[in-house]
Amino acid sequence: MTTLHLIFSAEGLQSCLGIIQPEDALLLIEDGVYAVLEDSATRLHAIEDDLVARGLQDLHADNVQRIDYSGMVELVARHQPIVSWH
Amino acid sequence: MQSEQKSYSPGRQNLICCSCVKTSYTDNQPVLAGLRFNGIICSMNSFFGDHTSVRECYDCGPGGVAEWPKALVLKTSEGRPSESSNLSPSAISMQSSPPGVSYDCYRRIMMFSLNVHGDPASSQSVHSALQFAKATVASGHELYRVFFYHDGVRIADCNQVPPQDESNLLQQWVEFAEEHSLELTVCIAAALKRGVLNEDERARYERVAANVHPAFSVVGLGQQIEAAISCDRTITFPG
Amino acid sequence: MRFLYLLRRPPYCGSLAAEAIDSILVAGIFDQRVSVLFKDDGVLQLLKDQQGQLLGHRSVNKMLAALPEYEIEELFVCARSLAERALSLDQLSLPVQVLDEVGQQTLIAAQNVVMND
Repeated sequence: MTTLHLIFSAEGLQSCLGIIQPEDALLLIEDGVYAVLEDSATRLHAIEDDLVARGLQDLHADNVQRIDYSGMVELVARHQPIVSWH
Repeated sequence: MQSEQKSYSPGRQNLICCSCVKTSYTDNQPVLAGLRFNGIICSMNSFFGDHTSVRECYDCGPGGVAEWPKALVLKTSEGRPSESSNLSPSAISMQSSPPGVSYDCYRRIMMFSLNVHGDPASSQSVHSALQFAKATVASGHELYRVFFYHDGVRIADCNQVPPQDESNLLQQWVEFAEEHSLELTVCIAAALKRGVLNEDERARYERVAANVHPAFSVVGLGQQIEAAISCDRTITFPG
Repeated sequence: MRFLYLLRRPPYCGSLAAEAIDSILVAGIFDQRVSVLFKDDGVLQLLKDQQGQLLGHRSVNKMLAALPEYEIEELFVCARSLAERALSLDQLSLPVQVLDEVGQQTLIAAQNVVMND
């Protein structure tokens, strides 16, 4: 199975990017959603509540797919292991 | 090709592996020797307390040992799904659904274990974990245990007084746990260090007051590892 | 099951490092296949000659020395993290394998559970 990376901060994303494989999934969560402010070609998911709470709902590009916590549950079900990046 | 007819004891949970589903069943409704049932999958833990036991396919025996992420299909002697498998179908894509069977019929119940590390007063960790926990249950999956470690143990302190205009995370976790009979655990070593004591520890260390909310069990790290071993997925909410 | 502990914090960041090590040892007691990957500031946990007692703590490198005693010997460090901190293996207090990014991808993909500090 492929890995799901939970990105809790922009620093965590920087650390993670070097070791992701093409089929891995990335989910921005909590302060990790600030990564949407940076240009990126990487396909990212982001927790909707965390984007909206921080006023980022109109500031992200098309590479970011907004999901709710049910979507996070589906991502978790489909990947293993789950790696958290603070 | 249909497998030979077997007798099933009433109520016995017979699990068959994916390869037998492929060879034994036709159309979208799996049929075995006259039994017709919905292909609903149950978590291993629903049927086997010992997660390390070998689960053999009822039809083909050791040749069909179920390993993750293969799906096991429940069948009962009455040909009806058992109560514990009674889920509303929802589309979770399976990477290997048997040919001729719609994957909408298959929904694998998973068991999750959560580790929560962040301080409730200074981190979003405890809030995020609760939202995920709620979504887990709403999606029909199961939560095995929530293990609060590091500063996360502070959620169990019943002395916290959140501001009126902020959510009461302790109360929310307690209500959620009571509603779903969920085990909330805090690590004893991390809790002691941070002054989160139940009555036993208060007496042992001759401290002034116990402050662990009764909804929380104070446990050792073995519970964290046991949960990770017993579950399909372990998710950490770091601080 | 295969457990990987991904340690990315420096040794005296509160008690995160010490508590992560406690968890690692318990996983070893439970007879799981445990690996540890030190990455980013986590490589600093391995530095020799720490004197944590000056901070009122156990020295983290000495706590890590218990890992081989619990038969936890699959210890890895991120090559880039070492290079960014101008550290070499002989400055570390435990025998570890250096992994490049491909090696780390492979290691993570092989795990059932990844735990964090």
